[in-house]
Amino acid sequence: MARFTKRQVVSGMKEARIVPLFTHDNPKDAQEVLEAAYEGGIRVFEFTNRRENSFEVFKHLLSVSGKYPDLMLGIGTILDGPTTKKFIDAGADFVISPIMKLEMAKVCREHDISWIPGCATLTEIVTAKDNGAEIIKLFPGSVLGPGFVSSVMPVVPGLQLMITGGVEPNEKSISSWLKAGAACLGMGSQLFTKEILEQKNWMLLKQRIQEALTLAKAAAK
Amino acid sequence: MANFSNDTIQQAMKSSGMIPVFYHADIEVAKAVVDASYKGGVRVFEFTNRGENAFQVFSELLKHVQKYSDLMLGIGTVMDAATTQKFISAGAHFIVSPVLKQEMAGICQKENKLWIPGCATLTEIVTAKDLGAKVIKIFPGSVLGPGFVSSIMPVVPGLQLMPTGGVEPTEANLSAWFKAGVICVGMGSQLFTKDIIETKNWAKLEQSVADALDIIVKIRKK
Repeated sequence: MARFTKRQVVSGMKEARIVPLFTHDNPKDAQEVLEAAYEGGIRVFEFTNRRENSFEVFKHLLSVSGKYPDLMLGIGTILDGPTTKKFIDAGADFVISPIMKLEMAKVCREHDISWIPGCATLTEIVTAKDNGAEIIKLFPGSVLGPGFVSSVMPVVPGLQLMITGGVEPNEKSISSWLKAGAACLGMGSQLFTKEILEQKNWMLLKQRIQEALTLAKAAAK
Repeated sequence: MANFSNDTIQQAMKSSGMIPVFYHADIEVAKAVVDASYKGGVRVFEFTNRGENAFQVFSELLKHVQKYSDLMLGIGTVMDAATTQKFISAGAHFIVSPVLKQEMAGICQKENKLWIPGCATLTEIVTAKDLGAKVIKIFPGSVLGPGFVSSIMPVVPGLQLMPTGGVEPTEANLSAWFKAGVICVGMGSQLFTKDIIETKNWAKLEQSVADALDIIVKIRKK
């Protein structure tokens, strides 16, 4: 069972400004990354379903998250209805997808869970909104750019966009997206670099996350 | 009429790496372009349905290419089911479209023909895949860029993508696309330049085609 209501997830994401996305096939490493991220200040975390054993690793992370009552843990890279249902039953707080698939909207609605579909055109975005998406993921961010966000925001007021793909943990990138009107930023490989993961340098990871959060906080002012 | 299985066509697309995309209203020019492309190394050719007499020219071309036992000739710029059916009945080896239209998928499935829809977002791509598309065209390539392909490949593994529109026959451009993970590229006006077509310089066309294919071979060895 999810620990947070849809409303809490939406406001939690906006408040968090940065939502890390991460996958790993080793439960212990995944746990250590989650713990470092939490210590760095992360309160909304997206684990991505990109490995064969992602479901098992995700369940392990859910059990770890028991010690963090204010951590929202969701699942990403979900592409269909049955997988959506499986992860919701396991306890995902929200479901993120790189695509906009209506069968996923239906499952999320039935379980009262946030559905965060990936969109790349305003037509997809509005279709997602009409089907109940309160936060919409813009993907791939690097292809669309902050200019896409500033163009669509005045046209459809109230959009809550989460940017994923190509958001970099530096002032220029973070501030350009947030100033364009993004509600929050997803950050994956740019944050969890190969180097950090190989060396298991969780101190450095924690520090990077703190820096990114500080930049996001400053940019949102 | 030569018949190719969908697997054979898909394999040929991958191994040749480049599909020319061409239209001309004059059957003699169309024949000369196909011949020069074949001599340059092309084995999969897309003629596009962009003029009033495209169907007649394509039907003639199909007869003309019977002399090549290993040339696959498909039709592109098809937008609806009726036209899909018409070209399949005429003998098209595969169907390419700039759009994702479900009714075309149904016809191609019924006729067991390779359907290559044009998509511009990951939602469209996954929808096409769910509807049975084995190869998906990324269009317009110049707008989306190789960065689009490299962003989506890790998210949906196994995609077979062919960008069209703005692909250039240069090492820099081709290398960016192949590194991003495409299986082949479609190339039109960049290859069949106005100059080559107007002067009917088929030797030069053959050379340009061979050069582009060489670049792809070289990139893939790296």
